[in-house]
Amino acid sequence: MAVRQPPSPLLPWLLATLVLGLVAVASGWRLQWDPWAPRQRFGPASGRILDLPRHDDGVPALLFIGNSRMAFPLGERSARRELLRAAGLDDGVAAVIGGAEANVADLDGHLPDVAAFQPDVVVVQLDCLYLLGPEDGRTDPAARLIAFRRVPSLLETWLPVLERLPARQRVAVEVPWSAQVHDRLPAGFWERRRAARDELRARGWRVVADDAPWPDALYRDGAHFSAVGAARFREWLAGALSAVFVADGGR
Amino acid sequence: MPQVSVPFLLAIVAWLVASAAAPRRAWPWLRDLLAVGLLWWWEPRTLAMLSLLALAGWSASRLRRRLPAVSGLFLGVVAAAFIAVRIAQRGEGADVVLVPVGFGFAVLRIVHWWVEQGRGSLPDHGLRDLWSWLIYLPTVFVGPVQRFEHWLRWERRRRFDAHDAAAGLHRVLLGYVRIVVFAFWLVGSLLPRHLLGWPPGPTGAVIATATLYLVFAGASDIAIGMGRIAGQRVPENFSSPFLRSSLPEFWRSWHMTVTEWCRVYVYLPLLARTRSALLSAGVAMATFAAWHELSVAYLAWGSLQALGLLAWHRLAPTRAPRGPVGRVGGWLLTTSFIVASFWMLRAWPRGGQWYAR
Repeated sequence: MAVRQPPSPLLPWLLATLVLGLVAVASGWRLQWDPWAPRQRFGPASGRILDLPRHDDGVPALLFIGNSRMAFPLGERSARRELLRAAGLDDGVAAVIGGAEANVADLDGHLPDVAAFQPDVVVVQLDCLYLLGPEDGRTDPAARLIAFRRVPSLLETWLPVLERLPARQRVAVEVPWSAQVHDRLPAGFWERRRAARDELRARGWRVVADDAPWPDALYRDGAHFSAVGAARFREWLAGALSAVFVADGGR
Repeated sequence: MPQVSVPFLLAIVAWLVASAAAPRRAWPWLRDLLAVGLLWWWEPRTLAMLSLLALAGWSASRLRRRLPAVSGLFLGVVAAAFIAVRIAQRGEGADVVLVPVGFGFAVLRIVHWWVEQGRGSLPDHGLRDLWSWLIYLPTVFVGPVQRFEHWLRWERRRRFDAHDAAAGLHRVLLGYVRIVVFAFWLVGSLLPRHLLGWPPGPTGAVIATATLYLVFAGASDIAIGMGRIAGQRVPENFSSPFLRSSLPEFWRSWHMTVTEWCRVYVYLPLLARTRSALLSAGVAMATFAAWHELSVAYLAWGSLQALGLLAWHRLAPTRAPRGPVGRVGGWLLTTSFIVASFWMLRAWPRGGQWYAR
């Protein structure tokens, strides 16, 4: 008599794998340091922009724009919900553009998508605005990067773009620097930072910053937060946003 | 990471369906087609680099029959290209250096193939086999580094077995649990929120070490599981390294296929020539470190590991306590040493491309 083989348990494992994988994709969990990240996958040509969720009219929307220094700590949905609550937008949606996948330098090309998101509040990483500029000259590595990406000046190109967004509140956040980076910031850095802050305030932006250096141990390379640093940054940013919105009389 | 993306999840489904349903002759084509498709989507440069490497290696091996000098020349060119890329990665503005994903692993694989091909220890094969091995979907992104002859043997005797495939899927799921539940959620997200008041240095080092292990071990699980779905036996890469009670045991169970590569192609040849365990271990660990990153920080980290290994070999056989006390003490010492060395690596001041990413 033939022995009947038990049914093969392929399907449950496959379904469990897909469910878990999709949960991870949907949650936006990302590695602090991702050796497999495609390094050139940025800009409109990539057709990718980080996580701009659809939302109904009337639902408040918060948009974060920055480079990977800010994008990594805000990579998870739960982190963004935490900040929405801090801003008094408990029932809102939040999105992040930033990092290598949707480089902020190409924001202009992304504007239709960003405008469709209709952010009520825009939070932009301040140091992205003033750190780079054409006056650095071609010998400066930062300027080389900008030349590579064919962006003449972030400060010149960004502000008009960001101010075209129909947001009623604009906040510029300086992602805190580690002590070791503090010590080697380039000449002219502080003047440019002060000028950028003054200009932003004059144009109606709120500026949130902690000028004191943060402990090196909170960073994995002096600039990008470690997991512990990211948690500390989120806590700090929530407090800062809360203070801004309380000062403005809530929503 | 590509493993946590919708296309990769779809590729797992397609991999399973293809390996179960494809006729024997069609499988190699489907296998390579899936790899090409996913690499094209993730990063076409990686596909181009691997194809070029296969072609260059194959052409050079033909030439080597007539010109033996090509043997060393090819290795020299590969090593120089590797060092050049690593140096370029270190510099200011390194964000613009186009380093294909899996570059380091591809270099280890091609060197292994070249050396073994020169020794005549590989079975007959063609350029297509070499290329398929280099782009093999389960291992292309993060290893493990599978020896060519093992891969070829399992591919040639390949047959689909539903129970084997189920075990493979089980392993893939285990990999996702490690990455998603443990690395991303528990260690990467939940734990840091609850450790805010703790000293950030040691806490960060423990979290980073745990994340590194969980992600790499999880990715290896996925690779091994996918291989097994298709009847392939991808080698193990981690064997509970953080349960080991001595440094040599740790290094025999951590990233095993890469440490094995260093042992076979660096440590043993050097030991045979110099008879110096210290020099051989030092150079092997330096190679292992430089393979990760060509920097003073990594070289110091590699030297520290070599010194740790040497100290263990000199002191442990006579002075280490035996029995349960020795094992617990050894585990504590080994784990502390490893975490502290990763802490040193993280805390080492770096130059770099912090300003614009």
